[in-house]
Amino acid sequence: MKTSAHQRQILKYAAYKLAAQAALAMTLIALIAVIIFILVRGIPHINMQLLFGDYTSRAPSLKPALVGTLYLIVIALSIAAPIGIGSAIFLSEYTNSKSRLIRIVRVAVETLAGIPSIVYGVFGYVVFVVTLGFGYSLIGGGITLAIMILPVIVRSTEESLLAVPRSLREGSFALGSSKVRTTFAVVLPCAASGMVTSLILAVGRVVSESAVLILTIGMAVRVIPQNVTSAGTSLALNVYYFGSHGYPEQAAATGVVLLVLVVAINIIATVLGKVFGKGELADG
Amino acid sequence: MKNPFSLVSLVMALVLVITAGAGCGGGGFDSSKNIAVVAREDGSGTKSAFMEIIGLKGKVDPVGAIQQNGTAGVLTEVKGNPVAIAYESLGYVTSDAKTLKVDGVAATVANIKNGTYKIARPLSVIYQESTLENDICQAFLTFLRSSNAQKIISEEGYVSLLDDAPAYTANGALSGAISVSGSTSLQDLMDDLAVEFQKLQKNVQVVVTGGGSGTGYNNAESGVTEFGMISEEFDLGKAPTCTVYTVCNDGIAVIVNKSNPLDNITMAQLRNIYDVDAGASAIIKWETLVN
Amino acid sequence: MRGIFLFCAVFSILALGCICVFLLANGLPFIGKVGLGNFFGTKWDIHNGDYGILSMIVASLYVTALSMIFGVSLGLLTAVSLYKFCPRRAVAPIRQMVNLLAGIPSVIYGLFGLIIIVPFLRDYISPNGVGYGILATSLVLSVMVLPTIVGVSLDALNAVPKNYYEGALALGATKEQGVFKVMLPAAKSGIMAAVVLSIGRAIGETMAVIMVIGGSPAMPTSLFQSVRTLTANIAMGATELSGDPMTALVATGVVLFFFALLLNASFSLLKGGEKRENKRASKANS
Repeated sequence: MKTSAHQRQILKYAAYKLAAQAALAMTLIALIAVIIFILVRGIPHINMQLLFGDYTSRAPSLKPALVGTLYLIVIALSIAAPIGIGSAIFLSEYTNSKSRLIRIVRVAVETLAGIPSIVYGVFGYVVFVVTLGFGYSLIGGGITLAIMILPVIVRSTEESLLAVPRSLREGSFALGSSKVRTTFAVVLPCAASGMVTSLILAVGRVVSESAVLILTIGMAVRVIPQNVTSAGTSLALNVYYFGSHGYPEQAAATGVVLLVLVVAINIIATVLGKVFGKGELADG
Repeated sequence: MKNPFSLVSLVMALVLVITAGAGCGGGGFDSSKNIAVVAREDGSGTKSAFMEIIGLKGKVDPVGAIQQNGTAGVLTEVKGNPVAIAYESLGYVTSDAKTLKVDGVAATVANIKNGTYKIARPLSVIYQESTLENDICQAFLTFLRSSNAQKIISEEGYVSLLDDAPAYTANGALSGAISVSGSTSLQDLMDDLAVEFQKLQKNVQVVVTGGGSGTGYNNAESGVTEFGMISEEFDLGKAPTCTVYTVCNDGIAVIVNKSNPLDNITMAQLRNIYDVDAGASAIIKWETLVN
Repeated sequence: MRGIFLFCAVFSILALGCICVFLLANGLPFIGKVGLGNFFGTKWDIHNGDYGILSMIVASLYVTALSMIFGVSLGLLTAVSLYKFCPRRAVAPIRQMVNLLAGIPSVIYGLFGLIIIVPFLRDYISPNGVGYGILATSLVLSVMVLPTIVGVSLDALNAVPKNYYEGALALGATKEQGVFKVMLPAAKSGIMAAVVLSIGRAIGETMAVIMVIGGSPAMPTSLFQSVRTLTANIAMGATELSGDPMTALVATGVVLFFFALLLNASFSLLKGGEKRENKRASKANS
């Protein structure tokens, strides 16, 4: 009797294991299916007109979106990178982790990371489109995105700064360097790989984001933006626009372009991290 | 499972099979199914015009209506969905969908002109008077009234309102850019008109963007773009400082999937499909319309 | 120099403050103006001054709950499988792939839903010819949150001290019992954190949702009915509306913001709990 109950237990858990393996297979199928579907539907519709042609209703083009995406990357990074890195330097170099200020900053960063992007969009709309009267503009969208990617940059930069061994800093102090000099000449170069990786991942976030932009840059899919105050569009926004405005083929093709871009960004980040990571080990 | 790649390749194979399977097939028309009511988003001129003409002015969509943002989205939905019904700017309807007669009258340019096809509305541009101090804007408006523009309007399936319009004479001195935004119903036509205008005025650029009639009102009123496009009767309350010019008339076609056997629908039936308060007389299933 | 760094650090606080102030200053007066009863009512009819978002809150909750049921069960089992029941050599590549998939833009998932899931549900599953709605959205979202759930749960499992498992085996448990009865409960708070994180992503997701939700502002009564979530309400009206209806969207954003704050708070509580538990465990072991 006892043995059979024991046996049953063992069988039950063996079944769990099977379920887990089936789940793994299903997860992989589901995720690979998404990618394969997009590729199968999209690749046949990629052509020069779509990528670089002039926009008409019958033959839409991604040229405005490519330009707009570039604008957004430049604006968002040029704001978020210095502030994010500065913030991380303060968090890791200038305070001990018990201080009240640092705790509040951390809570703020965590909270910013958890706010849904559409709420950032509403914020950007209220501030830039309405209050400041910019109307729909790339600069408004870019600044909103900058605030959104700030937590990404702060957290991963801080991690790579903390990974720099204490002994390096102490050695630098012992040689008579100031705090600022130590930070810039010793700590930052050692953490360079992590920082570059975090910036590239932040670019990935900018490229993927669309909910913020629908409220801030105006989804002007036809016109190539002239300057930062123009309304514009981005690749991700174009996937939505094409998908729900009657261009399913172009939407899938744009999806392929976006997918390739995001995967490339991720691979570059990983490879850079590895290359620099090895260099660091050698230095240490 | 000894080899990790056997798992991955198994997954790949399965995915390919599913991909191949999903490409084909699809259900046909089935009269026992509910009518999938397709509507436009709030702020669409086509929507407010359609609802007003069938006698449901200011009412919300029936519960569970599928909202499509934009004229082309409606067509895509009806093309793919065997049990859908939708309304759509006549100039946009293609052979991908089936256009129904309304009260026995076909939706054609001739029937709209002679007034027998009832579901029609004006497509207009609105602008502030001060805008016309800009020579390009003045020239563009003159162009819209010319025979060059009327020819394109007729070719594209819209209803021209000017029979003996003069030809447009280009002014070589003009150069610069103006922008037009608003109703997606007018957008494609405006694109074609802009292209023609740019051919005549080599140094002028006309930038056309969509957004919907609501956007057209806002942008013209606030001066964001020189012209706003609207696809309903001009409502002075929405843009008090603006003036209207009606570019053409446009029918609103009632469309269904090509596999749908229905040919004709009455105004009363349409009302009972689109009325949120229809109660017991509401038409829910296709079998009410199709025998 | 310290001052500059200090400013950078304080910038996050300032930004968060700005977001709070601007959202509340624009949203709350509007809710006050139309009245709580109207704003949290069931009727959304912007032409007649009805701004009820209750049906959207309900739709958001339905969609999130259903996508969690699909996503968590699948994702958690996947993580367990990657933890112990999978060829060792396959773990690293699969893990890397899952990380990569976590970075895929949500519009891509939305597009997948629009061109594959919605037509499939409409033609083969739906009783009424509508593919849009809660089921389609939940399926899209559950696939979308899978990488997050798998990644974070796997980290939580890996953080549990190995000697728990070895102890279980020493007491005569099978490998499976060791994993399901010992390791999984021990990783509980980390897994809960993964769930909360995914709830946050699901309830806040916009672009993938608006492509498959249908958009009708009606109270959900069926899985195959066009409805509207809070996020969809904001995004669908954003390009069309102005005046009071637009402010109503900002107020919708305020409600969403509160949901996000709530989830953030529970996430940090759970994370704190996980750290404490693992610390206590390793202390007891050493």
